[in-house]
Amino acid sequence: MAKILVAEDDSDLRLLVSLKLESSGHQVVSVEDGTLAAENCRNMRPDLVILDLMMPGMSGLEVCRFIKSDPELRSTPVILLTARAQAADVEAGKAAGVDEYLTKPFSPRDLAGRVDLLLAVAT
Amino acid sequence: MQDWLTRLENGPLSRHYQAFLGVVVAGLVVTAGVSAATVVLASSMVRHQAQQVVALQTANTDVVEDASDAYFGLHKVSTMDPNQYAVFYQTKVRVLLADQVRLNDLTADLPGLRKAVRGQEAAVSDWLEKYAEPLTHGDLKGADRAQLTEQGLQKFNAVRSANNTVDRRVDALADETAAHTRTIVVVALLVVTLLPLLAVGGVVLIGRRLSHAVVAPLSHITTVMEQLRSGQEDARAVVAGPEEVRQIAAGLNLLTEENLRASEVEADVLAQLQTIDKVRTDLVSTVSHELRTPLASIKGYLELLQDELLDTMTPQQSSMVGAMRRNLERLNELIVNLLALSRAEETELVVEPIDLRAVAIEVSADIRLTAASRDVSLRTVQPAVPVTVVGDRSQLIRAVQNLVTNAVKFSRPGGTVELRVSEEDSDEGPQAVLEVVDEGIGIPALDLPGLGSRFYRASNAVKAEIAGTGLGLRIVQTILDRHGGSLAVDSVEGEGSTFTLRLPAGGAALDVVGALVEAPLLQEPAAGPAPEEPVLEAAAVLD
Repeated sequence: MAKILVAEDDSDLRLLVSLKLESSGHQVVSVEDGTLAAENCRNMRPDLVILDLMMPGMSGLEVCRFIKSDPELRSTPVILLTARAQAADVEAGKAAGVDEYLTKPFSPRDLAGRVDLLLAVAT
Repeated sequence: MQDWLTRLENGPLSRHYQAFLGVVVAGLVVTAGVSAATVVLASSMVRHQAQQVVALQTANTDVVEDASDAYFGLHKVSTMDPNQYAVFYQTKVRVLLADQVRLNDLTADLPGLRKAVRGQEAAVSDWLEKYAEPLTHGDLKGADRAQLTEQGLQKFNAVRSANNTVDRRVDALADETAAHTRTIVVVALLVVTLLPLLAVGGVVLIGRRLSHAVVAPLSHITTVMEQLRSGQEDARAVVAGPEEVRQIAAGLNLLTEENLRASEVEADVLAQLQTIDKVRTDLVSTVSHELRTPLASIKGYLELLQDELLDTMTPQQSSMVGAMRRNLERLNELIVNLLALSRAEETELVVEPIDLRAVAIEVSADIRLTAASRDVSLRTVQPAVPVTVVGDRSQLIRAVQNLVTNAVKFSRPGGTVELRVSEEDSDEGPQAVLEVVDEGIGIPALDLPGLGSRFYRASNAVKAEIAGTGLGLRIVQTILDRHGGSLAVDSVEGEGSTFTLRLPAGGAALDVVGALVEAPLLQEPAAGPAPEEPVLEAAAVLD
């Protein structure tokens, strides 16, 4: 039972991820904007953050960098969800500090599994 | 004259030639004419002077001879018939007088000589009057006769003396004349020698001037052409000189302008083409990415639905869901391949030295799970030494991945797919070889030529309902083209296939790939085929 923040600008995908994670027993807060995501991180202190790469406002990478550079938020696991899967993109993700890199289309089961793994490692 | 020459220089070259020819002919004619005239004049002058001298000498001699004859006539008075004597003497005196007149006439322009001649005339007159005439009239006594004879002798000696004087004068004249003659000959020689030289000089001067009028602008044009060749774009020829040369200069300038304009157009077109190419590449990439999001939604919701309805679904409904999942996979694979093809066709390669063995191992590791799920095992065979190639790592991995994925896809359960890495020597130098060998359904001979063209799938693959887009091999082919390599396939339907990938190895690789990377935008790579033609070589079955 964890608090998970989801930032994704596509409404259908946003709902999909929320549904799956809620059915796993987690509490999900979803936003459609990178800047909102960064603010919400501050306010609600989520246990895990799932970020889309291309969003209005701050991009997924920027939000991730923001999280990882904040001493209070640094330990929060970050999953990057994206259509871009080139080696260069993965490198950029690693450089920004993402903990998991998931490419679309993804299996919700797979996502749930990784969420559980990261939460378990974090605690 | 200046004006005429300038007009000539700027006229047509044919007139140059004519003018020059004219000058030469005129020079020859004038020289010949003047020389001939000089020679004729000189020789006539010389002859005239010589004749004058001879005439004087003759006349003078005649005078003295006539006087002698007359004197002789007188002396023979006693022995001859007086009448005969008288006739003889008078005849001689008449001739003498005539000759004197002749001599006098000859001294017309010679005052000095005339004086001497007058002297002679006076002596002769004296002799005639005082001696000859009185003697002929014969009215003299003995003693007067003797005195007269004495006088006569003296007077005749005076005549002789005067004659000698004239002779001497004539000799002096002869000497003068000889000197004149020498002078005339020298002058004539000078004229005959110098005039041709002058003529040649004049011809040379005019010739050089005319030639310069042609050569100078031509040299200038040559210089301008050199400047243009060495990249000086604003070089233009001055339009001057003979008509034809001016036409050349104007023509050169026109060509240069058109050339520059064409180059600008070419550069423009190239820039546009580059832009279009980039837009196209970006478009494929962007669209492919955009397609993934809705695909993710569909796939994700389908999975959720399947989870929720798992227990309540009929077998028919299950297979419907299965069909949906399969086709979602196909869509995804298509997008992946489109992206890969677009990347492979992109013009920038990031090259580095790569050990082909590492590529084989990495691909093997990636595909192992998928292979296992189909009950296909993977095996790699490689040498103990590195097999180095030069190229783009991710692209080479994708190429090998596609080959191995195909091999696994078309294998039967329980089969093995083998990756063999080796190095070979060839005519073009050392080659790195990677073979992907499977024991699967193989490729019908009929389909071999079509493999590698976009979206082509062998008939038995379609029949066996093995999912695929037909892009996989196309991607491999494109990647190999960009790396200066080649792909060959060996296959027997029902028994299996071997795909052989070849790349330049070692040092040679750097040159080949370097040349390909540096190939100007939008040109086909040196080793590549035309885009839509299938290029796999179907080798005869070995073993």
